[in-house]
Amino acid sequence: MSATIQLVEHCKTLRLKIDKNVTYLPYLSELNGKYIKYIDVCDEVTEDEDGRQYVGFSDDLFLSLIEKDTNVIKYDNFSLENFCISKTRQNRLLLNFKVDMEQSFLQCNNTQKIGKYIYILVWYTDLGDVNKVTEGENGLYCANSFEVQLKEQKNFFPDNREIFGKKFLNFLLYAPDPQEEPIPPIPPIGNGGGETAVVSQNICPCSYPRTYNNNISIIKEQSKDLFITLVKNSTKIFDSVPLYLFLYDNVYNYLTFNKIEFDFTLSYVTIAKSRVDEIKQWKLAVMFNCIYED
Amino acid sequence: MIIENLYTLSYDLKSPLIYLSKDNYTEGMKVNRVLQFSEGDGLSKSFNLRPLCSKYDVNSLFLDFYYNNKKRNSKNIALPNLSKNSLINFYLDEDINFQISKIVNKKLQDKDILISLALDNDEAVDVMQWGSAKTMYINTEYIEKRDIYPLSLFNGAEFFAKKKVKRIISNFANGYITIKDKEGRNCQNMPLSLLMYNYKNEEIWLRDYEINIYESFITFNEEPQNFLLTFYY
Repeated sequence: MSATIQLVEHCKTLRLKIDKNVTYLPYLSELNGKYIKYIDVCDEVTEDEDGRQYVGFSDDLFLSLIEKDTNVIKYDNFSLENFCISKTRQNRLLLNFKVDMEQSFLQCNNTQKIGKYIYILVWYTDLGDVNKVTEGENGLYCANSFEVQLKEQKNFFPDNREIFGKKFLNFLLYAPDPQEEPIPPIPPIGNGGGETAVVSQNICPCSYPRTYNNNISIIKEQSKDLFITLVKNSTKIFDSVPLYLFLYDNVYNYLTFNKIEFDFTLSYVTIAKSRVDEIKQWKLAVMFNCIYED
Repeated sequence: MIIENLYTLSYDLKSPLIYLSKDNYTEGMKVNRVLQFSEGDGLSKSFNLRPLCSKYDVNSLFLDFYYNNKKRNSKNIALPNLSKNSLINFYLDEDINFQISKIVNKKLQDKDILISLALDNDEAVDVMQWGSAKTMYINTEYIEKRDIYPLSLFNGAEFFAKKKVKRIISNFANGYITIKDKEGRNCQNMPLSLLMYNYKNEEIWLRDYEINIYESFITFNEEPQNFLLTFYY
């Protein structure tokens, strides 16, 4: 089948804690009155910016979604597997209805998962039935790039005047695999007296690819530990979306942004808590190619 | 992806610029996808017989597109991103320049990259309905070795010449196919890797090609042992 356009405008992240066998979804004011288009379970995210740990792929979790105002059970005990990105490969199930979050719930049949978190993305629009990008005058697009240097846990987009104020259709992440394995750390040497020699952790990303501006790029594996937030008028229009979604490697479909505009220098990339020191030490950068309307 | 026409360019990394002359192309035709191929796609040589960049070499290449006399340029496109999505689109009767804007590794100047321009005419026709599929076994062992193998040389080609072909699947990647149809459309030097089943999770379809088997041909980088082409029609 040819890929259908997956048009998106906003994304809210739900860091859902599995409290008990039945966990009701929280009320989210941003979703009030909005059409939920897609749900993604980012089952390859293991940790977020606050250090919460996430369960991986699960075939023992089931989601029930109730439609707002009608109370119709649109999805009844639907396996969460159908929303897991590792399985869907971004060929998303179109929902396109208003969800009553507080009546909708997650059922967990595995007590070992209670107390753990699931990383859920909720893609929504203000209007229903928006499935085609409104074409510009000639339907032609431009591509450009920008880079975000990773110096802190929260790293703002650069001041790039060329793409300020543009209407974006997509971001494509540049995060190739490294050509060779990085040099592994040398393990500490112990002697009979119980002392250990201090050796440096000689992990060198010198085999990592370089970005256009000759910074050391992140690699594919690290894209699961990084998150992007797009801000417009103090509102997060994309809230902590894992970067690996924009890699589009080995996927069946991809996102299309509905010509979204946002405040460039107020938007940012964040790093999973336990990865911050490692990434800061190597002074890595994230490079995106972006597509926008001509 | 639905392909109406396709043109492949072999780009020598010694040259700074490649110019796409509008004289060779039909007015109004729109390139909707620009694809990039490397050794990692199962190819070993470009059709100029020069070595191809590996999939790792490609990681350190960035491309600019300049539209002459117009402001709309696309810049700093990481080559691994080029084939994903409709990153670049343009009308072929514009004057276009491509430029590899940066090469970090000087050794790459001895290599080629391959770029294919996939065109359609913007009609939203659902071509994915097909009736039958049939496989043609191409045995080069009993044919005099040559650089170019016209499709007419192979048993079964006459059968497909009378059909409206919607899809071709190859089991071998290391070569190129040029397909011309009776209406004048053509896919020039299409890498066979694009026709491997589920190429990068994408289905590649043709729009009812009535293949001219005398003007369509295959070139191989290495001789295949068991080469099959399956035609959907």
